[in-house]
Amino acid sequence: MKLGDLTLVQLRQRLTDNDLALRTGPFVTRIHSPMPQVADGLLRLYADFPLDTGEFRDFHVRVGPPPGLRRWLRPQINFWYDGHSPFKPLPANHAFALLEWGLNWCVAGHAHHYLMLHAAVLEKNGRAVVLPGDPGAGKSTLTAALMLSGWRLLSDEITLVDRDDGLLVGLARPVSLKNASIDVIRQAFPDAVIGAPAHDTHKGTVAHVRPSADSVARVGEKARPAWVVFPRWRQGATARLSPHSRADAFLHTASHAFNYSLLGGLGFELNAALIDACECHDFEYSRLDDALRVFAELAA
Amino acid sequence: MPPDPARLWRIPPEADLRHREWDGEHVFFHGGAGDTHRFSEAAALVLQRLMAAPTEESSLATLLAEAAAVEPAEAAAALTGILKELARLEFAEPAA
Repeated sequence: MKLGDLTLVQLRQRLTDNDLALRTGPFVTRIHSPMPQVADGLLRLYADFPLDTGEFRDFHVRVGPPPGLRRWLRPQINFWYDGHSPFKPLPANHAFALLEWGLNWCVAGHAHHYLMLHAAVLEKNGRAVVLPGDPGAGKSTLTAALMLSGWRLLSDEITLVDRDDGLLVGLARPVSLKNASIDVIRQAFPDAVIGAPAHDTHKGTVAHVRPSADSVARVGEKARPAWVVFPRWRQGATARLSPHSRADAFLHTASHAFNYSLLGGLGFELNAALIDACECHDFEYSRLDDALRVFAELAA
Repeated sequence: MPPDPARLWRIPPEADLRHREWDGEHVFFHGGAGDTHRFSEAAALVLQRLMAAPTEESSLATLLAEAAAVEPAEAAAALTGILKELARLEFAEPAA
């Protein structure tokens, strides 16, 4: 059964009753929330994801109002993982964004049976591109554009490297866009399904793009790494790839990984095997259509 | 630490060093400390020799001189700086 098989009323009821277990790639999360924004966002962005009926859940999370008088004066929401709250409360209309950040936090903080890099990852023709990127570099915009152009999304934020075979494991969760990139994607891809924006978050305005049906359907297919590309959006730049030192790519991905140090020698070997398997490039761009052409040539 | 051609150098036993080279650039991982560093080709040459076996300073200087095609005295001077840095980072140490 997929989440989209539920009506909004049914979904709200199951979320309120703590009776919704969502599978996102290798993880199953039990989500408990009375917040209508959470139900709306899930139905809009996770409709293709399967619900899980098994006994085991990786994460138990709740998004709801914190206790106390304040919630009546200034509505807030908080995120709980296994009963404790790792974040400060946020305005109530940030409920869905908080769920997304919380789900990222769950994976990044607990899934140490993978090497977890802070990077997007997509696949085309059996080969995957890993996109590390500093905030503001245009990583998520490029990720959304590639996904909406036929690349299979594995992840927008967390690249999972399987410790047994070094292949990349998908999550296929929504792509997080910020500020101007929301309208850039809306204009370039009028059919893209984009969730309700959350304004005035610590990242500015945030909205999420629904993953393609193909990305969700094939989330169980691991992908072979072929490229590490460091994107950078620069006004007026001609879209082009240029070589990036592989040693530097190794150090960047290691230093931005969620658990490289924790995994010790295994983290070194997994990241090194990833770099061994990849061509590494810098990529500057300003126009999305030019960027997509360069990536189409890369994957041809 | 003044130069001593007879001094034997080694990798600290707890270091469990791992190494990769890409296009002439070298990255080493110190398993004991969990530290990752990029080293010069000269330092990498020294470390790779020490990973094979503890080696006297004079042999390391000869290795460096031959690899870089420079006079032994010049290599020995460079080696002093390399070993000092590797010792500071605990990637190499005098053997007893």
